[in-house]
Amino acid sequence: MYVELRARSAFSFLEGASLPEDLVQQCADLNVAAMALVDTDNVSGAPRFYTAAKKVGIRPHIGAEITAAAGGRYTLLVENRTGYQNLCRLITSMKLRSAKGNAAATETEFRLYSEGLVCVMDGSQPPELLIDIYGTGNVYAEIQRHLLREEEIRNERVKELARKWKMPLIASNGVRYARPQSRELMDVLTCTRHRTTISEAGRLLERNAERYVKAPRAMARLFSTTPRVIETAAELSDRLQFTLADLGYEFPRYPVPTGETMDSFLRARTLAGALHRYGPSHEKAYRQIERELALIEKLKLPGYFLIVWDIVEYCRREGILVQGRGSAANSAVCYSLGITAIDPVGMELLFERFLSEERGEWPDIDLDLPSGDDRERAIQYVYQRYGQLGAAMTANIITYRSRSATRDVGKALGFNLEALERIAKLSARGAWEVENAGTSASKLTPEKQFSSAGLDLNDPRVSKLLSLSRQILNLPRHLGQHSGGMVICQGQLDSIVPLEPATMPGRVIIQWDKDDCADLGLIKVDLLGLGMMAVLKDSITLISDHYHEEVDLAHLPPDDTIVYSALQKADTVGWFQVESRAQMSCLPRMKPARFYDLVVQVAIIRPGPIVGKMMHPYLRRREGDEEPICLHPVLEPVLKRTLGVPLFQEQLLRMAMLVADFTGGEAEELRRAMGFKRSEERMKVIETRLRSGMDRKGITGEVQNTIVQAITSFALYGFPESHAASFALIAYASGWLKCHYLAAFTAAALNNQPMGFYSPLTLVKDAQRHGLHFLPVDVTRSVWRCAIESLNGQLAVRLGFNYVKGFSQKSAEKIMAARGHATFTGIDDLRQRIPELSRAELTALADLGALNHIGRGGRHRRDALWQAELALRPVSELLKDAGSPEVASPLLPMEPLERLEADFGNTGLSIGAHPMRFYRETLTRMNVVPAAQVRHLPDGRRIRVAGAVICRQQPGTAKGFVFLSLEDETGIANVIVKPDVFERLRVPILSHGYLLIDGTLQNQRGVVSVKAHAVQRCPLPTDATAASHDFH
Amino acid sequence: MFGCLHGPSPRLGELAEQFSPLIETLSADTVVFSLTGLHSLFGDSHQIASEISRRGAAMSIEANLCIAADKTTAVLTARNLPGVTIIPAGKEAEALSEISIEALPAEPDLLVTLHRWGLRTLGDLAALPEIGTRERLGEAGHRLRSLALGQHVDLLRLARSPAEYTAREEFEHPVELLEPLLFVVSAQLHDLVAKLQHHGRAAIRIVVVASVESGNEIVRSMELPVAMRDQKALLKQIQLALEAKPFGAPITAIQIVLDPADPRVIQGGLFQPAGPEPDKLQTLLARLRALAGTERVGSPEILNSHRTNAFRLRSCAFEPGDLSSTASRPLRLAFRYFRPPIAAQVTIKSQVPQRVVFEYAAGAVIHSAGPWRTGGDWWAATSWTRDEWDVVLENHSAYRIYLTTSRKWFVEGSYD
Repeated sequence: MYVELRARSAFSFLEGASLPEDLVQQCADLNVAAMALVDTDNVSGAPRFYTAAKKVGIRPHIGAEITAAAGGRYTLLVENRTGYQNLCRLITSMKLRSAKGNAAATETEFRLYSEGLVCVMDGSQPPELLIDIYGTGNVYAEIQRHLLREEEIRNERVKELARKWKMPLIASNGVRYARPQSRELMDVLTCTRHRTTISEAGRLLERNAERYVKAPRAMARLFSTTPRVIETAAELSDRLQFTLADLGYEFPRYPVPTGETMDSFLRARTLAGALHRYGPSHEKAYRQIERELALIEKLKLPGYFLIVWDIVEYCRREGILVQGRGSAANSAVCYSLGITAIDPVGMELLFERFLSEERGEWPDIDLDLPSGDDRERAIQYVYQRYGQLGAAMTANIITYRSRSATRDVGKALGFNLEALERIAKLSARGAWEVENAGTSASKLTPEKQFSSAGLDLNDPRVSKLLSLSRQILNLPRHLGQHSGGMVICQGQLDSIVPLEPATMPGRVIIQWDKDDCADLGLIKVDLLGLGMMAVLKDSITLISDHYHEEVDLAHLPPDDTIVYSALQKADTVGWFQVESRAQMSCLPRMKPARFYDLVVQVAIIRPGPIVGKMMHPYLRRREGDEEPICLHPVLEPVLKRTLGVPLFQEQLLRMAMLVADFTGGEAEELRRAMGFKRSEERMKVIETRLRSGMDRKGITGEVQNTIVQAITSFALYGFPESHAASFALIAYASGWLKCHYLAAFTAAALNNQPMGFYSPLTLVKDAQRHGLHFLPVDVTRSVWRCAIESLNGQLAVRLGFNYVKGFSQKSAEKIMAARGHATFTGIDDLRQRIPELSRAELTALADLGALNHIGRGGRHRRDALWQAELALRPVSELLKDAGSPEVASPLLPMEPLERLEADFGNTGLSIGAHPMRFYRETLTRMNVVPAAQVRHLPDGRRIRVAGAVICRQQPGTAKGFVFLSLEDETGIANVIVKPDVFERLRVPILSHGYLLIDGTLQNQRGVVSVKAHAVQRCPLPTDATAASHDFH
Repeated sequence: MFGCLHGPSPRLGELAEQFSPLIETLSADTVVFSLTGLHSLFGDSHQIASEISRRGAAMSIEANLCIAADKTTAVLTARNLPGVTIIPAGKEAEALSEISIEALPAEPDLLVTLHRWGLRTLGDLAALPEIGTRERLGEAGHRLRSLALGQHVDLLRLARSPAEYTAREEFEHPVELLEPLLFVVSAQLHDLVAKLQHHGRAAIRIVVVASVESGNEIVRSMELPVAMRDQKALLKQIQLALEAKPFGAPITAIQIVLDPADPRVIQGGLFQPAGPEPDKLQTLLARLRALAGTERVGSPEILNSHRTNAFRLRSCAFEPGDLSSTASRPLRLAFRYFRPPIAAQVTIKSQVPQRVVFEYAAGAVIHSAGPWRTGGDWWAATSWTRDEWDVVLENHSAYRIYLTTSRKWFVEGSYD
């Protein structure tokens, strides 16, 4: 019976055109009993291949084609676990010592890692060498037939070598795609690989479409003259006993003190923590902890919790802010160990979402760390603790999305870059991905996108571009680095999965992504960088230094009225999670008054609740306009606290269990399908099961549809309640710090850009409206980062050198050091003492006014520019120390508008008056209403607003509506542009920094926006403003 | 004294030439010329300007005119101030003061600095102190300041028009036959080739423009693969081209234009086989083209494609090849191509050819090998597939047959 022992998938990165799942499915359809996946220099596709094959009952053999340093490739098949470990080590060895993309194994490496591997010889390598390396009986000769005349010459040669060296002869089809029609895609990928076009590629392309998975009968016909080769391949397949079920992965054991076991040590640590968290007599909490500990011990997971605890403890010791997020926040043990900050007992969170016996999956603990150096320190700690080959980051498999698909296919088909760029630009967001997710969220279909870009869909070449771009979607393009997932292993991780260097120096990644790790039972700890964590940490330091107060984030006042008042007014610029335009427009309706409201607020502005049509019912019920009735009485206990509306992932799981009798395992499968990018087909299967379960329970018709929609809409993005609670904590902390320590919070936020929703300019202008003073960059005062200074008894933020465009930290440090020795006597003195200052740097400082106070002071910016220009001229050795007295410049001081433009040009922001203020009189004559006054006008009134565009958005859930935020000196006005208006006025809307908009005011229940009728460029004499935050 | 004309007209040079032989063309829209000596002819500067304007108007030229004592002031003014401007000597700085600083021919970096300093006009720049400016901006800055003050001295860079190789002959009576026409052309070529030789150039293209009785012009253009200046060879090219495609009407005038190029220099090798003279070869090719058609003469080039026998013709480039490489090719089974392939009728059973019938043979297939399958160009209208078989018929003759995309069988050739 024919088995295919040489199949490449798309994980060969541009050398295969089908996903492993497609290859397996084709085997299943054609009754091919086994297949070996031999991707080029990697086993990245192996987990998906194995998982898919297991489902349909195909025997999945693992192998790889390994590039040899001496030329050609070795095709290696794994016979047993030793062989698999050797294959992983071989790939790791060659990858870690080579530059990215140039890895090749030496003969020594092949010899070193040969045991347990079977080599398949295709005639390109000398058989005597292969037999010498892998041993007699472990080298098979292979012939293929693709109906090519020249191939028969090769086959004859291989047969001759097989006879001569007594090698068994097998047949394969050298599969590169599942079905014949994918040959076209294969050709396109070949073009991308060789950076050529299809019309130029010539003989690089496939000669025919024969490298697909063939039916056993077809293969038997092809090899009818030598039927034995097919039987021998089947015999070899029987020899290959290894599967990924036999991976041998073991999570590292945590070293405990003598006399302790991991169980006892974890118990002791947990109870000590619980005493601190809950006090001695919180019965409910201790019951929960006991229940969790019992399960953790039963599942042999204490080591995992201790290792995460160890990382958290390291962070505490090192003063690195850390907080667990995700489902771990459902666990009282995690809370007691200090891993998470949410009390799951108090919040009645669902522990089973985190860990359950029947799930058979490792728990997932994500740690949020301040982005930047602190996070890197935590990562390096893990590397040091478990060794370079014991820990690695998980990969992020970058797949083709609509933009990259069109670009690569278009380039290969010879389309000009301009047309492709037009298509890419029109794809402001991933229209195709939305289409694939099976929703009607976006009306911008690929066909429309192509037509809008001026491409004629009737042109056969264009229709090829469209169909191939669709086919290439979701195929892997290359391996990237996951944002923070680390896999740790007892012993050598490189025997479990190959490691390779990441693009970032000092980082090593494994060849599997986080889903693969989960599928194969590898435990992952996510060390995620969160800009806001860095802001919180920096704020605390600044508060300690300048307010002389110590802030403990774990003990913030829980119901601060100032914080909730700001939330209710949507005064949330700079807050974590609740600052976006959409959040702001929801806050006045939501009117959060307690912490759980904030948890809901964090979760509600998400594609899940919006597409699932859950947001508006919830808000209406909250405002008392609608009765809080559940979808079905059976769901009452699950949905009561969200007023009958499902909002959280946990609720949807429980709903599935209640309405369709899903087991915990099935509910888990449902959750996994929701979170997966590759989940559409799985979702369909689950939906069928869900519906039949509901039918059995008598839940039918519209109610059934609503429940199914609620559940399936979370396929886009479901938010777990525990996760929302963790985020809400950070959101609350950020708001509390902003409300009470504005200077510290703003300085910290400015020092951790880019992050959040708004540009630094918006943060500055918002802080100014709240009464904070800013001081400009000044060579005599500024340090590298923004800092706090006392100004007339009040704290103000001094901009740092980090805001001067192109200014190096090294130059800033030199200035600070030189200033410490002696004050600068003049610009010439500054230049002489810090010769490293470049022309651009010194000129920027002068242009900004940062040199105005140097030496005698009293200069204006152009005085400084005049002197700086002289200081920059080379001076002969003789006159080097002579100096030259500063003379008054003949230049006129800058006008206010010129200063503003210089500020924007050199720092991207201005701490002076908002540009709109200079023209307020003119604008008033033009009937422009300032942003702050808009909310005081009645609903339905015709209105004209104007301002700097700080944000343009077209959310996929908004059916083509575009949202603009216009900022003036008084605040921010929100504008809604209908799809037809946007199409008509696309150019002015997208082209200008300042807009003048006529429209109708919508002012209902505190939610204020202007519905645009006409949009034009605001007639200001400058277009200087910060870059708008667009279509992210 | 200098005059400068700035405008969109292509005839600015022509207008300037009416007043002075000393002309510099700065760009397609700006011409500057010397006015020295014109005072005695036309009077003062106003009268000169008036005369230039008058003649310009007669030539339908719309342009700015400036008359100034120095060249750069005249140019800056003409380019930036509309109409006619006459700048008396010593008043240059004043006249230039309102012109935007953007008008200066400065490096972008320097302009950025001037902008940063808040300078908007040449007057702003002129007001800066000389030493301070030179200290900060160096020679380049000083030069700009001088320009702004109208104190920059610059000389005219006189242009010489490139040589043209054109000869035209008008006939008193229309010429109908080719022979007398070629007689005239030969004389024209004689002069043109002499001129080419004098300048050390050769011709790379011949353009023949014939005026016919109706007043129309017929143009024949001949690209030459190599630059040549042999009168006979050039004449032969023209003769063959005109024989292949006659004018078809009596000719009233003939014009020959030769496009010049550097002549080809060949170093002959002692051990290289002697090739034909390029000139003679071109003549031969021209004859062949006249006989077979232009599109059917050239060097075959095998295309980078899986398509069998895919080639294209490119213009002939005869370079001595490496003949030794052919000797080492291994001897394989010889195949005799039928050109064009011969249509056949093939009977198939169990996807294998059983019988082949075509013009020269027919019979049952006793041995076969195949199919050998290829296909390509799936992205284009020229997409193709081909299933090939080698068959031995009962008379023991071996053929290669193939099935096309349109499901038609052909015999491609036979095995010897």
